[in-house]
Amino acid sequence: MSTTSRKFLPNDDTLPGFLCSCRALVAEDDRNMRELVVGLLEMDGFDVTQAKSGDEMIDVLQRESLSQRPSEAFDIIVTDLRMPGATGLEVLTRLRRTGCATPVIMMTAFPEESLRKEAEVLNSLVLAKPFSLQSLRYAVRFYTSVSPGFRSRQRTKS
Amino acid sequence: MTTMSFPAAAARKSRTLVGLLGRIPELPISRRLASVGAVALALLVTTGDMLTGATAVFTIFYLVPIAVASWFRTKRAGVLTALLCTVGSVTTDLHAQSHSSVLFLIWDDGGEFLMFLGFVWLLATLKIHLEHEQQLRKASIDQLRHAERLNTLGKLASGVAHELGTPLNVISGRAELIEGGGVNAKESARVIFQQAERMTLIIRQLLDFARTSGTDKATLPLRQLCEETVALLSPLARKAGVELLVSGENVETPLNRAEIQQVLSNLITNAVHAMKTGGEIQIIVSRENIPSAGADGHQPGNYAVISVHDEGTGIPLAVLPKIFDPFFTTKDVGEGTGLGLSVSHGIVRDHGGWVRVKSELGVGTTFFVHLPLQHA
Repeated sequence: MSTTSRKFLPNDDTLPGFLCSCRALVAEDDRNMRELVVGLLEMDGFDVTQAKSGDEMIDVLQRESLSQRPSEAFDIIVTDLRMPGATGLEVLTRLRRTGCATPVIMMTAFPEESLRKEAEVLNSLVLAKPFSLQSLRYAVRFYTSVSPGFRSRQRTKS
Repeated sequence: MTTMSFPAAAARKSRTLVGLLGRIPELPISRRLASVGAVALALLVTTGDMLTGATAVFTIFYLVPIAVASWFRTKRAGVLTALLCTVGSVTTDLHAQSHSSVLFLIWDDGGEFLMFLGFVWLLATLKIHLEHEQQLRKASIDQLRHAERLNTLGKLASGVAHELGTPLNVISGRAELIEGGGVNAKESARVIFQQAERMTLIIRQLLDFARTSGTDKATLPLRQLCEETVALLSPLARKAGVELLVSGENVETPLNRAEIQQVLSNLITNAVHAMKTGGEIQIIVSRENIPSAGADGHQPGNYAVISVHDEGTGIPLAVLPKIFDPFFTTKDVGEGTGLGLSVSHGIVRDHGGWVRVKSELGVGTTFFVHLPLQHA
């Protein structure tokens, strides 16, 4: 199954060049999990900013949105749903309220229906742990290519 | 600030006779015997006097031995005592020569003997009935505890499932990386091993809790037990933004590990539920010397005390006397069974201890679990 699908998907070792210099924010309280996701994104050429908690994530987002339009600060945000301090969902709610349309991928080991619904209403993708790195990788690539920041950069290039 | 401990709340119930009789099987054996004895004696003296027209002396000399024999020994012992009493009565009557006719003697003492036998039969039947009721009661308490245990287990399991998600993801992710060949396989293997160990620990803790260890007691360090329980509950607490802190002495007490763990989980889960906006729960283990018997009926001596202190909403005064009642709950339908505290109290009482609660609205609640340092 995986070998047939690989024919239609980009080779894992060669980066889709268009994603280079994209910025990602990864928020996850578990160190090992964070390292894994950050490592994966860095392999794909992302410039990754890390946050260990929801509160730290808010700090980063506030700092970044001072210098540029909130939607363009990051091309993709990958966050844990449940973290100490503010949860991923709370941060997402605040983010959407500011009008920021950055794609958000939520990781959770508690795929409760109510949480899923809330996250989906706020226009984010929910990935239930454990998920394969490959699915995260494809989700990140797809959502980055449609992110407002990425598209505005493409427009200025052309 | 309002405080309440369970025996005081229960004492209110004991004021009615029905409440008192209902509570007899719960009392310690010495008090149970004393109360049964007192009631039996009173009944004996009045009914005996009424039925026989005899004096209290007669009743005490004849009926009490028969009652004691048939209640505390066997039915046969009761019949034997009745026979002896009849012989004694016949001898007294012959000696006093108060009755001229032999027929009257047979009528009088024979009737008396039949009454004695009836009395023995009544007591034996009552005793069988009481024992049966006690057995049923014990069986239903056991069933109730088991149900509550499964309920706690269900709650813990959902937390544990979450706790396993992340390490499982790290393992599968690392395996994917090794498969791709792009990373340091040795480093990934080390992380996988470490995560597998973490998962083993989580699962083992849940299994320890689930294992029904019967009624065996072992002398265990309390603080360690608290820490193990907290480790199991931390996913649940973290979800609610609550931090669990354990401190105090590592006091060793004889206890049933699974049962006391259930008590702790009940108290901590309640505390977490009471803290809607997050905060800290302090679990402190200490020692206390109770110099004299308290109003609650507990014995003086050395006790280990586990206090569970939350910064929650507090318990309203009107609700406080009811919190240990079975099926009483303030939680939403389907959220609480109303059994947690009642089962916890039963468990602690079986250990020879008691539960006390101190609560202030809007400030928080503290539950104190007292456990005797020696075998009860």
